[in-house]
Amino acid sequence: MKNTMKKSSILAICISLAIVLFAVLLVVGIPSISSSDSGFDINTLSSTTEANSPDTNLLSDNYNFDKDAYIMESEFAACTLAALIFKNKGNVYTVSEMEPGSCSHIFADNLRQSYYNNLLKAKYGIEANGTCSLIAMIIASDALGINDKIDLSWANCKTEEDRNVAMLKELYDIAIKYGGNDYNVNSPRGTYPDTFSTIISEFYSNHGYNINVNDKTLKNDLRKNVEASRHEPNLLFIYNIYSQVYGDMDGGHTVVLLGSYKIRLKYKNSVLLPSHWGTFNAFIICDGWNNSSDGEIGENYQILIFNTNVKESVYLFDLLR
Amino acid sequence: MKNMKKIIFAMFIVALMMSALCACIPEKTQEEIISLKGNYEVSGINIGRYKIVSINQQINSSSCIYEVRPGEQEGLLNLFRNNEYFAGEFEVPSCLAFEINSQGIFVGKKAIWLAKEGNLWVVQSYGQKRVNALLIDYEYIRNEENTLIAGVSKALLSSSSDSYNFGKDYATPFSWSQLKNFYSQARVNEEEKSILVDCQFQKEGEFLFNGKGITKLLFDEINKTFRVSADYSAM
Repeated sequence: MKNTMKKSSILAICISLAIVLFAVLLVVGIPSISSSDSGFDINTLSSTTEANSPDTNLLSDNYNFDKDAYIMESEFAACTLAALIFKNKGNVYTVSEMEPGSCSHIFADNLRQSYYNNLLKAKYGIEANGTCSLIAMIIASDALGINDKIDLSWANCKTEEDRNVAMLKELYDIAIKYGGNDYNVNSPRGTYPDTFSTIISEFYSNHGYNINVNDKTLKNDLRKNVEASRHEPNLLFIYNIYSQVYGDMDGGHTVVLLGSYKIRLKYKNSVLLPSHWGTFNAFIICDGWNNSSDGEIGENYQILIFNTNVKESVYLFDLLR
Repeated sequence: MKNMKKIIFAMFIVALMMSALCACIPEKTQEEIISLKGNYEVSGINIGRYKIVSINQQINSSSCIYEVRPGEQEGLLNLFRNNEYFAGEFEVPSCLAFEINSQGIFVGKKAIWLAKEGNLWVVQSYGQKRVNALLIDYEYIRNEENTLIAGVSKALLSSSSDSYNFGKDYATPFSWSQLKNFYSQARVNEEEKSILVDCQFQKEGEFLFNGKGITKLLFDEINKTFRVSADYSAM
């Protein structure tokens, strides 16, 4: 009888302690998604660059892994995210180091979409939003040198900025002719990917320049598939995308792919096995939001990182073949 | 035996009370810099620092929603009230700015207004813990040749029109005493009921509006309308 009593009181004490522990955990200790899901301690990572960057906190606090792609502004944040994504694959025990590998890309001037939308409003009285695809077409054709072949006296343009505004207006006019493209300020649908080729081909044809646009729909293992298909500059339309600076990009976003950015990761598949160095493919892009003359990553260029598992297809457009 | 039962019961009660107490502990906050977004007509405004649970700012929207802990809304609103660009606290009128999309702003409900040379931000609280701060978009008044433009806030226009031209009268929901607070004192002529406003013009042979100038907004107190004069002086 006494034994039963003792047992039940011990059991009661244990249950009470469990309730208290659970309550305390609820308030204090539920770790952030990024580290809890993977069982991965971000502080165990070391980087050869910008080791004290405050981006570490940003990543561990705010990132989740339900996006197909991420636009990163700093190399350190990109390397850290690559390590987390790589670790989250499931068959990796730990990633202990990460560092930028190689970076090669063609050059282009990133254009700020909101700035050009404003010029479109001032010059033509058109209030537009969601023009990322049209801006990407201008950036990509600048990278190809096609813009220079367009006569600047067209529409009385004198400067590159004038020409970009006139190009945006003409691309806008062509775009609204096709397939329900809509740039309403309050809730823009933007440009449908299946009209990209028609818009850009018609624009260049109007200016006596013929261009072949080769478009592909890619899914699964995008780090590998985009790497294999890239032929810069490409336009990339991604539905499920997140920006380190601007957050969720509802309705998708179009960027210009300009080259590759390799991240080196030191990892172990098991606690007993030795470490290996591997390469994680990322990409150099212009996001159509920032602009700076210094040509730096985080200013004129950004780093695009694909997740391991993707939900939606990605559309890739080659402008020349 | 009886005592043991009492002890066990008491322990359960204590555990349950602790759980309930822990559940009541407020959400985590972090002190954040509060600033209002600008646009190409006006630069943003720095408001100060405040403990925030979350900030929700969409890329294609000029609205920013701050979430604070319940009961801490007033503290945040006071930061806006104490700002140098505070222009008053009054009802949001029905106007062009909210004709198609209110962007989370409740027309007819009181709001805090901040203004910087005619560009307006409206700040409204809703629920127990949210504050919405919105930069109101602007409309361009133009001349027929489309060589001169002047931006005015869409809040200043009572309703939409096919075109907005210099020299034409447009109804406004604001009184003169409200309107003049949207601009700095140096621009306001109380006697004439006029305000100096910025404009942009196309220089000879140029494509974009690279010239900066100043023109006049004239208020008609009887009809509660305003017009923008096409006569400008280059700066």
